[in-house]
Amino acid sequence: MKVENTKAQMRKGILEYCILSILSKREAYPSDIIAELKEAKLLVVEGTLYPLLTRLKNAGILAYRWEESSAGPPRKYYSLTSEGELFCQELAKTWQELYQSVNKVTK
Amino acid sequence: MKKTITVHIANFIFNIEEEAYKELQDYLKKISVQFSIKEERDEIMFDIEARIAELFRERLSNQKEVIVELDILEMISIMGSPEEYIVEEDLNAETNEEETERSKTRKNTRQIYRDDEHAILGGVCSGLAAYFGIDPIVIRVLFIIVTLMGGSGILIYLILYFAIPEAKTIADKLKMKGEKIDVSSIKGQFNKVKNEINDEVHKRKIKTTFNRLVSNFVILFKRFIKVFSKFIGFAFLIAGILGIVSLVVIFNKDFLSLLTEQSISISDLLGLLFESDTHIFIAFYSLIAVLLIPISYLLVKGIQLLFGIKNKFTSVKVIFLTLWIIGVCMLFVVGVYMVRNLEETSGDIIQIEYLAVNKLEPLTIKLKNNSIFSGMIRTNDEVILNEMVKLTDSVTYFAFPRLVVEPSEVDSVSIEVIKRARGRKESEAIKSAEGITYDYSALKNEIELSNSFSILESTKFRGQNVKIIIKIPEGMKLNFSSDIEKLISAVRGNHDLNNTTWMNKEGRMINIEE
Repeated sequence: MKVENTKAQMRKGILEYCILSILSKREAYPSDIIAELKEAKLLVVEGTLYPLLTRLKNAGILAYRWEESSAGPPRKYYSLTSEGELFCQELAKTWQELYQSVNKVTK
Repeated sequence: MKKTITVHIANFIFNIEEEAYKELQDYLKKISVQFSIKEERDEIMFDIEARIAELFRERLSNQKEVIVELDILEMISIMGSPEEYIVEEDLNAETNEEETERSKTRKNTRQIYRDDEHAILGGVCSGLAAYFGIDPIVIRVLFIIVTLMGGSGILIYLILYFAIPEAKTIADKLKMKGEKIDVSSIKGQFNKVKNEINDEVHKRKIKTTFNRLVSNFVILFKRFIKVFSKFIGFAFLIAGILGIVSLVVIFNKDFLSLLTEQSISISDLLGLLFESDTHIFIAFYSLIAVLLIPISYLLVKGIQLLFGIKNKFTSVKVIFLTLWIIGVCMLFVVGVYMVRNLEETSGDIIQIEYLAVNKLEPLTIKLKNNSIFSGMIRTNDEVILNEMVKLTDSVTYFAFPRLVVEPSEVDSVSIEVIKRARGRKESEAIKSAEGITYDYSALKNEIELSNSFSILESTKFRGQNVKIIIKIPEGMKLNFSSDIEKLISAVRGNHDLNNTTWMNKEGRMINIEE
């Protein structure tokens, strides 16, 4: 049992919720999402984000549109689908409950 | 001074130092093996490559035109090391043991892709060559050879083009040349399966719950399928290629006549059978669709099984299935229409000629010298029909006249030619029968019969046939000449008629031994 694995699993669920929260405010390009996550010290490398976004998109929670970029290849701007918004609300509710429960138990 | 390589990443061109390129390649390879589902992997890798391209462009300027190792390291520090990608792989879904095993097999598998970079046309040949680790020229020459067989190579190429995906990402290009596939690696795969089976058996001995047993069995079965699907795929592939080659050959008259003595092609046959040009057109293309679609499917499925390509042509499949069903229906409709022409009614045209012969001398029946079907030979009761129908520009020949020799009720020799045809109406049938030409000649005591009859090229096949009845009076003898074997109708029954003599004795034809 590695502590890294447990940490990673803990972070994973939260990470999804955080990404969805960011996207619920505005549509964003992966680098924008990264910047915010980095600031919050939730994520340090970009690579982790790409598989996650693709899977969320394939699950119908996210949608994207292409935007031309002067800096290089066209960028994918991600946003929540209506299904994604419901999903995000569910997660928010669960997070609240979880936060309270964890606080209660660990006090 | 250092050597640089030009690469394109996400459609942007970069000059990159050789060492740096190796590192980038290694990095992408390590990432790509983390993702198990192919479609997902392609998309993720594309996104990652696009981001890498963007990061690289940020680092380049007029003063700096080449990507160096430092840029790669900086990029990795932003994107994360390959291990950091796997953090988000479904950790909870799989145990670590299975995970490592799976990534191992992933590294080992080589994938087939179309190689656009080294392509002349669509990169099919270069992709296949990369897969098998041989020079593309070998595959290209093979394709040219197959193409010479009536152009079937072109068709096979097109099908392969659509069945094999293009190598889009750098990771794809690396997979294209993955681990070598040879006898020892196939052997290795076999041994692996064997060990797995042993493991499963062992596990089952310990955990005897029903569910465990069933799930083990399912896993076992799936692994078996995986290995044997390769063999099935190979068989499909070969069958598909052979099918296409033979199909092209059948539909291509000129090529067919080079290989066989058969001079009739499908389109000729359809022209003979079907009434109008519309019917011929419908029958011809329906037939192509009905035959080509399943054969192509075999080929595509074979490639998919053999090279482990996931099926993603659902809509195309539906379209082709629909086309196939339409083809079958069309064939059925024109077929029924044609068959009715052959079955409704028949009409006869009968010509009788009484011959002035010397009844004391025997009558000789010979083969007329104008033989169209010279290849028809009888050996030991078996008729070898090299050709039965022969088309020329003006007439169509058939090799089916029937010869009957009967005792005559009157005191004279007669030859009766019955021309028969079928048709929707009796008048049509009679008209078709009138169009039959049969040639024979009688001179003194010799009758020369042709072994074919003909109809005009423009007339349709309506079951035309010819029956020749020769009647011999009481007491008269009849000789068959030595070449009578080539007159097919003479060889009905078990008699070897060559050089035999017969006589009408009291109203019966009797073989006289001489």
